[in-house]
Amino acid sequence: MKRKSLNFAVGYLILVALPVLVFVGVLRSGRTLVAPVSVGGLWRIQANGENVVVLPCGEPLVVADSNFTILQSGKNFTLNFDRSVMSSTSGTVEGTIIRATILPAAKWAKGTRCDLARVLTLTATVDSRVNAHFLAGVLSVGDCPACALVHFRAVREEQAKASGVN
Amino acid sequence: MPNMLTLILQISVVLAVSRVVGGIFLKMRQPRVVGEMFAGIMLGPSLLGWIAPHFSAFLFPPLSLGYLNALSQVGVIIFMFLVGLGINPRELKNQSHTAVLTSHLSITFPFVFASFLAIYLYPRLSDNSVPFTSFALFMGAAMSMTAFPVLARILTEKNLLHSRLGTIAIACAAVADVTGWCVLAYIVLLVRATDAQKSTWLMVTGVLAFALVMLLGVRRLVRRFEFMYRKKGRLSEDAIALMVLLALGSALCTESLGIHLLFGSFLMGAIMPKEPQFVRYVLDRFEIIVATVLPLFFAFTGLRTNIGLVKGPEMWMYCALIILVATLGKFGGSTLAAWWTGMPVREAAGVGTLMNTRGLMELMVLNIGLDVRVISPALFSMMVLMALTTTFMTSPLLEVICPTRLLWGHTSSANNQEPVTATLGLELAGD
Repeated sequence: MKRKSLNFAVGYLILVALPVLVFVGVLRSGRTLVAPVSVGGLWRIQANGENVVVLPCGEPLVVADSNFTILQSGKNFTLNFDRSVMSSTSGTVEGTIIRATILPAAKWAKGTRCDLARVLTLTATVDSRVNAHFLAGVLSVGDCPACALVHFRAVREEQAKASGVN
Repeated sequence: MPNMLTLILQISVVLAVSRVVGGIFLKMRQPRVVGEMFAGIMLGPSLLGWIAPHFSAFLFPPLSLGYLNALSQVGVIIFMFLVGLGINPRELKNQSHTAVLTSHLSITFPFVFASFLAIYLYPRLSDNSVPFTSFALFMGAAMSMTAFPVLARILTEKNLLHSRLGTIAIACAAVADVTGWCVLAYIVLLVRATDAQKSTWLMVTGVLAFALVMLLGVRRLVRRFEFMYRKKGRLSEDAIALMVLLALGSALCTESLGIHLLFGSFLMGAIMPKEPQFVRYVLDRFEIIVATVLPLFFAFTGLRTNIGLVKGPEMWMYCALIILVATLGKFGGSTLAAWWTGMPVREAAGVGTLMNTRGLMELMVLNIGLDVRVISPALFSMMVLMALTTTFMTSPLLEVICPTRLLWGHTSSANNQEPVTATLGLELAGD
């Protein structure tokens, strides 16, 4: 009986108490880790609508009231425009720069001068604070050197609402 | 106002698919609830949204999901009340060294393993709005969970509930879940305190005061339910309605105090009288509500789970790593502890296998994690896959590692009374 209790006490010390200390140590050492800058949430683009419309396939963005939602998972994110004017697209975060390629949705491309093969590129810099509220960047069109770059700013309305679907 | 046509259509489809898939899983000798979990994933973007995006968008328009969520949350509140009701502190007090060591190790090992995994995953799947401590604590809490009701169901099916393996596994699962929920409450409190810029200490004090009032005051009052039951052999409709009100009220209190709704309903269930016949009666009365509404919760979870986010070999490697670490931590820790205290290796591995069942408790934890944004959508999907995998593999693995015939020799004759947890498993986790 005594031996059983001793066995239990030793086991408890080695198998339970020691791991707890290890866990605390890992928590402390992990505090120095740096995660990608947070960009998830609802963003409202502040750009001159006239400039955006001039872009091939830029028209749907004005229709969407220029809102988009970013669902972020580390360095990767998906970007969804309001009213599904653009196909759901993915992008990456590198430091404070975010990049995404945007394809127009077929239903919005009909009847416009938008070629479905056109790819819009969104490149922006986000301020590096935690829960940054602004990003500034350009919208450009791939394979179209003649197309002007549209500069924009976006304001984060809220962090990503997790209650909806992805 | 919700579009009633859409809502009724959603409920009908969810219930029909859940029953069909649950039935198929029963034929595969899996608890029905595992099938219902899979059905939920199938209705989300991972399958229905992928093969029939237009139909999926028609059936589950984003604006309608709030109502589906609200309905499912009410069901989950009732379910957590019943889970709390099924936990009997007296059963935990009388456990042997094996149960004490196994239950504690089945918590500490997953926490340690998860913290190392968190060091690897934090820079890859999180962002700088989530503090590392919250991330690591959440991963630990999520990996230390055991699906108490599913486990009871599996043990009942295999007639192992009264075996040494069964009693130890049930006791350990209860301890693991209570601890896991406490840690989770702390994480939610930390995150919400930061978001709302409130004092953490103020919130902690509020929660502790509430818990004390419940344990010392309300607990005495709710004993009257048992007296009423003993007197008449049943509870009146008013008494049942009052019970629901108390669960909802308690849920509301914990939500207002800054932790999640589910903690309140769990606590209310935990302080209810534990007389087995009374508990069984209450479970019977609530069975139909839970059986109807839980599939909605699985569907809502499925709608948030997008396996498409787990793309590329790198992401699948993370997912495999999560499943491996979760299994090593829970299965390894529990097996080691049971073996250390003198259990034969195969039986100890049986305890480990059972403790590795995560089931719907895990899904609830993950949903809270996604709600408070401690985990990202991709990590949420990976963790859901981990929950499904560990739950699905329990029954077949148990049969391989620790066949029932090997355990007959260990069947305990001391405990002739069926624990209420068995009823919980029977009523809530399947047919």
